[in-house]
Amino acid sequence: MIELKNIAKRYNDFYALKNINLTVKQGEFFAIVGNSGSGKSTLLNMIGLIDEPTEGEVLYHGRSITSFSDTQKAVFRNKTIGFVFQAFHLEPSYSVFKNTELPLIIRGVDKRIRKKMVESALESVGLLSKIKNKADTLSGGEKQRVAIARALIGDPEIILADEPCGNLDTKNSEAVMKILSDINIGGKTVIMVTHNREHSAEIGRYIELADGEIVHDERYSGGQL
Amino acid sequence: MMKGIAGVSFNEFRELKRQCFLSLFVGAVVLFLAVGTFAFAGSLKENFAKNYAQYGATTFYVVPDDINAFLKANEIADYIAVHASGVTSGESIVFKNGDKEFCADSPERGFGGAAYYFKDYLHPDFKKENFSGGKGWTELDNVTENGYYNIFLGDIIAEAIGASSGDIITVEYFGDEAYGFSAAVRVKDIFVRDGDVMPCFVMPLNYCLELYNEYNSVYQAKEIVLNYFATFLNRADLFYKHKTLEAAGVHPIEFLGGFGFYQMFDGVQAAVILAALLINALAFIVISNIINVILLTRQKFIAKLKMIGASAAYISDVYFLILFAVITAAFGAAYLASFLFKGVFEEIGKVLFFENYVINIYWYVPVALYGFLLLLMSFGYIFFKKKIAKTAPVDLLRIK
Repeated sequence: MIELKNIAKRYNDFYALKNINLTVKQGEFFAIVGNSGSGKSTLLNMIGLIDEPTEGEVLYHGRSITSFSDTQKAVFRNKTIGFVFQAFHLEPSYSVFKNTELPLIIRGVDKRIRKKMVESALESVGLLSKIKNKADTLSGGEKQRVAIARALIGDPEIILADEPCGNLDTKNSEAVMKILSDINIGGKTVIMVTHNREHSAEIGRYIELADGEIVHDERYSGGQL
Repeated sequence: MMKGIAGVSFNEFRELKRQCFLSLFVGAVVLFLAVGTFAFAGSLKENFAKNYAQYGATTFYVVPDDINAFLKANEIADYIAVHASGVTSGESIVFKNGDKEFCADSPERGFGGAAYYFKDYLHPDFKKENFSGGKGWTELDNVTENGYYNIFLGDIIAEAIGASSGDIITVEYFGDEAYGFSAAVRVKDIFVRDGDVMPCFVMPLNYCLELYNEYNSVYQAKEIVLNYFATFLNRADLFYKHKTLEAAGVHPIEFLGGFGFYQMFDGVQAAVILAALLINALAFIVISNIINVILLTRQKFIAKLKMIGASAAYISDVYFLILFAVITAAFGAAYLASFLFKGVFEEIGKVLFFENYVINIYWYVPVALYGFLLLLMSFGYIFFKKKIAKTAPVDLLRIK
């Protein structure tokens, strides 16, 4: 489904990524692991079209998406990808409802349909009761669940999660991983950047990056490393 | 994909309300000053024209002791009207109306009465309420037909010649051998003052020119004419009118040393142009700053919007809708304020220029400025959109 061909990201003389060749199949729960500065997030950003490679291309169902125009990329991000970040990236002054519905507003979904979809998404992450709360009043775990709801609301094919449990305690981390696992079981491709290999219990494949290069690519059956 | 902009814009307006209201206030003040300045300066021209049209658009005061002004008047004027408050010994003025006649010999001989005329127009100074010492003038008649003259007559003369509107009055002046002229004027309005002495005569320019030729010296001619008559009054006492002003391509005020309405007007115009340039520069700075504020304040939100699928065009629309609303509101406020402060501008104009100064607030000034700002804004939009399109969301998130 996703193919990365000779991807490199260079900052002056420094290569954050180099010679990345990777294929992600549809429905995979895929983890990118590695030390800090190894290029994990950069790679995830390349896949999500929120950063641009200096070399190589990203193919989606065989079609190059790196050469998309700004608008095409925007449409692609809106319809195909859902992002979950360690820092949540919610709008703090917006309510849970507003944060969640933003992708639908951009897509131009009717207000009534939006409301139903937001309620459904928040229910799936167990936050319907906090629909009117402001984002900055939520706990870290709740924020991340709102971020997941926002990522899911547009029914994307791919969920990109950049250290989604990085700011969470164990209990919340487990809850978030459970949600991501359920999303994956529901048929969506989940690509996650993580430091913590313990989370890999739910993960079917992981690649390890070091100095911007893939040093390990391993698939698991049975969900255990 | 481009729906829901208004809603997001409104939310962003709430996020940026302080910046928006500050921009609105600054913008409104700047635009108010712009609209007000243009109204003031534009009205200055109109008031100037209106006031001077009352005694002929090209009729101007000549400062009596300004030789150059008089010489220039001679060169371009078709006639010159002089009024004085008395006639000295050895001179006489004869006013004739048909077979009726009145001879004003000299003040010493106690004749009373005066006449003064302007073709078609009446100088504000000579309106009955403004006329120096002229209380008590009564308007006998009004004739609206063009080409008539306003005539002031002392009651003695008026009674003697029985002048009324439509009459043709001949004024003949007899002085030394060198002097002498006659002028026939058709009466438009007659203003009479009771019991006062106001001798008057009319001196055509050709007579002034004759003086000039005869004495072979412009200076002497000036001395004779101006000193002789103008010394009767304390104020500037000569008026001239010329027909060939526009054809000559020069404005007579240029010759009126020390009394430069037009120099002043040019100065105001230059100031207005400078102000317009400054305002434009300021507007550009304001708009640029608003854009920068948006970029700096909301860059992370912009990054989030991009991340969840908003295009650069969508984001630009969101913020420029706010900018558009702020600018429109600022114009509305400025235009409204200019009407509210109209009276203040008029009072300033009255103090500085004319007693009947009236401000005209030109609709096209704010419209032009608004159009200009929209043009600037459209450039800003293109710049903003390009910048947003070029910047990857992660870079926006990374910016401190």
